[in-house]
Parts: sequence; C-alpha cells; structure tokens
Amino acid sequence: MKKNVSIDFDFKGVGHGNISIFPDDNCEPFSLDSPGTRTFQLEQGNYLLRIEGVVSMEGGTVNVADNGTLIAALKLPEGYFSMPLSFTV
Amino acid sequence: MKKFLFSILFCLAAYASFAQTAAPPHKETVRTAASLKTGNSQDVLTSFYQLAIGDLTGNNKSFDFKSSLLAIKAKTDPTLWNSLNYTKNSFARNFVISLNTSLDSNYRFKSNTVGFKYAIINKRDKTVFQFSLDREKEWNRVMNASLSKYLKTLNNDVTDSNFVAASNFFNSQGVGNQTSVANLPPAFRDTLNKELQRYSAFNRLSLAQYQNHLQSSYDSLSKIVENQPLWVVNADFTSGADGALFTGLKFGTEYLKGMINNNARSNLELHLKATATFDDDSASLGRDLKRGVFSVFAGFNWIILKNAQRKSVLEIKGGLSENYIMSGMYSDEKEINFTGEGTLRVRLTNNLWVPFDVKYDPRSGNVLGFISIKSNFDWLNAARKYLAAGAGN
Repeated sequence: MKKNVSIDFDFKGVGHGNISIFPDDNCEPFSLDSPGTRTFQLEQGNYLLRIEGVVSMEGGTVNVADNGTLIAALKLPEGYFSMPLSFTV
Repeated sequence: MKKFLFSILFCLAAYASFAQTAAPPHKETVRTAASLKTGNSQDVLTSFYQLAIGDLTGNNKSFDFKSSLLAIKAKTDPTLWNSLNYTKNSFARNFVISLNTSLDSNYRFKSNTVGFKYAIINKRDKTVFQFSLDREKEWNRVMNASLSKYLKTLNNDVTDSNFVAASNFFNSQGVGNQTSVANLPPAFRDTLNKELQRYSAFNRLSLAQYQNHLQSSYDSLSKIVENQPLWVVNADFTSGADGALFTGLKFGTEYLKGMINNNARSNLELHLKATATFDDDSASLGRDLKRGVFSVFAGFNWIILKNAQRKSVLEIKGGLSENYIMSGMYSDEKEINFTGEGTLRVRLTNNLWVPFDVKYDPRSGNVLGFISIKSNFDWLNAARKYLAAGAGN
C-alpha cells in the first residue's frame, strides 16, 4: 500500500539543498533554493534520504512526514552539509 | 527616578528580545549564523543580540544590550526570517540599537547611554551570500548514480551495512561517520570510479579529492566572504546620574577587513577606528559639552585559533591609539596622548566570550586591565528551545 510521504526542507535566510531518496524508483532527486515541501507516493519499507547543500544563517531542518505524521527529522548545521537520514514508511 | 525608568526600559528591551516567539517545531534550530564570525566583528556589528557585562573587576562596570533592528522586528514578524524578506531587509540587518548602564565601584548608578549604529558597507554577511559551489550538480549526479547502482546489487536494502558505509562516504566532514576511501566496500569503489570517469569534471580527481570537493569549494568561498570589508558609523547619547539629558555625545566610525584568504585555521583582521566624544567640562561651571576628545585606533585582530567547525575560539587584538584633546583640556593633561591597546578574547562556549582588555600608557608606564563577559545572541532563547525540544533526553 502506497503512502503519502512529504519531505520538508526548511531554513532561514539564503540557502539551497539537493535531496535524493534511496531506493529511488519512485522519486527523482530534487533541488530547492528556498524552503519547501515535496510529496511522494512511497511503498512501505525502509528508505535513506541524502541532502547536500548550504544554509548560511542558522542551520536548517529536514522533516519527513507520513500522511502528516512526523516520522524522521534532521537538523542541518550552518554552512555546507551532506548528510543522511533514514526513515521507515 | 530617571535611572529606574531607564532600568525598566532596559529590562523590557531584554525581555522583548528573549521572549519566546511561537515558532513551529521545525524551526527548532540552536546554531547561529553569527557563530562563525569573529568576536571582534560581533563587537563592531552585532548580528542579532549581544548582552555584556563590562569591566567586571574595575571601577567602571557597565551593562550592555545590543540588538539589530531585524532581530527586534522579527520577534513580532517571524516571516522576516524567510529568505526573500530577510534579503530585502538590508537596513534592518545593518542597523543596531544599543543600551548601556554604567555603575561605579560601589554599584551606584553613573550614566545611561543609547546608541545607534549602521553598517554603510557590509560585504562580509554570509547570511545573504548565495553559495554556488563548484560543479555541485555533477557531484550529486555521481553520488546518485553510484549509490543507486550499488543499492540494486543489495536488493534495495538501505539498511545493509555495506550500503550505509557507501552512503556515509558522501557525508560532509565532522558530520556523523564519514567513510574513508580505504574503508569503502570494494564493489562500491569500482562503481564510484566508473561513475567518476563518466564526468570529465571529475575524471582526474582521486576518490578522496572528489569526496571533499564541495566542502573545499565552500571553505574557499566562505573565507573570501569573511575577509570582505565592514564599515560602520555610530552615534551614542549619554545621560548622567543627575537626570540631565545629553551629558555626553559620541560619534564614531569603524572599519574591518580580513587579510589572509588561504588559511582555514587562523586569520588577521585590519581594524581602524575613529571617535569624537563631547563630555561635560568639569573645570567649568554648569553642564556643557565643551570637553572634546578625538581618538583614532589602528591595529590588527589576530584570529589565533579556529575549531573544527571553523569558529573562532581565540583572538588577540593589538594596536596603537592616539587621543587628541580638542577642547576642555585639564591642567595635568597633554594635548596628544598615545596608548597601546590590546584585547585577548577567549570563547568559552558557542555564545559566550570573555574579552580581557589591556591599555598601556607609555608616558606614565601604567598598565590597565579590564575583564568582561559577552554573550552574542539569544542563548537564553536557544537554551529554552533546546530544553523544550527535550534534547536533554
């Protein structure tokens, strides 16, 4: 059964992020130059998200929600980052 | 009465700054932009808030509160943090308001000062610098392709320890466990090498060079931004213990410029400063502003040590200042006076600095020292957020 999974990338000031989700059969990598949310239909299972980018003011966050319920979160440090986040749908 | 009034105003300003804004949970971030700036540059232009207790052990204790106009405005309008609004609010980002109360050695009230500062040139503000990293898109393509292909050989099991090791190869330095080239699963190393060869941008790089390529690109760019000039002008208005307004006026300007581009661990900042102060001439009757002193300072702030996160943790500033008494000179004074000045700054925590100021008068041979405590920022707010988020669990 597929579920609506949303990926929310948030930060203050100026920044950008490139996000990939593995396995990537159902979602292409995407880039965001401002805070935003993308929603995907994902099968139940384990996933790994990778985010790479720069936020220049106060760090940022990545939140993964399953039908609106937060299932994983990651704090991003200020400056350059490339980090993984595991989640289960 | 007026001193109490000012104290209340001071407390209100502090409260307004620390009062918790109802931010959504995903705004719970504790790191700050200003943390990467030098302690010296935070004194010249405060990014958000600064609380300070000056001359802790001396006869001129002072309590300072500084806030950028943006930090005050954002307390009532959090949308100012959004990138577009934030970038647009150039004046508010570069305008700082300060309140200061001075006490004597017996903790008796001496004076209040309200100050305004504006950065005419502020090219070192990384918060509005759009970092475009060299070949970032290509770097991500290599990462995506190599991880995806490798994952298929592991039945798409992202929890497989080999895949986790492969994924962690792409972690930035200091974040989690970054897998070294030597510890990469051999099959993944082959896949990654093949992907690298497909992109002319990287086919001459070793795996380690590719791994750190974006970090290096960011470090180089941020070094260039940190060294850009900062030029501020300021005006301070002082009222004394007798309640009289404008018992002192001060107009000043400061200039900062980083000097070394290619050193991630230390740096040197040129610091120039000029001030004109007008105070009461105590030799004449009544209240006036007839005693005028013009001062210039030229020196360097040496960022001796930065930590792994490129935050300055130890700084020493040294220079010469010249004081010229324009008017109201007292009988035991000389018209022009040179002094040597130095400040040692130690960063105790992310937000807390302890500056130790030293002044040397070569004519009298006197050495004076002042120790202070300065907190750049809403550390109370951050602590509340940290506790509210249950980070201590």
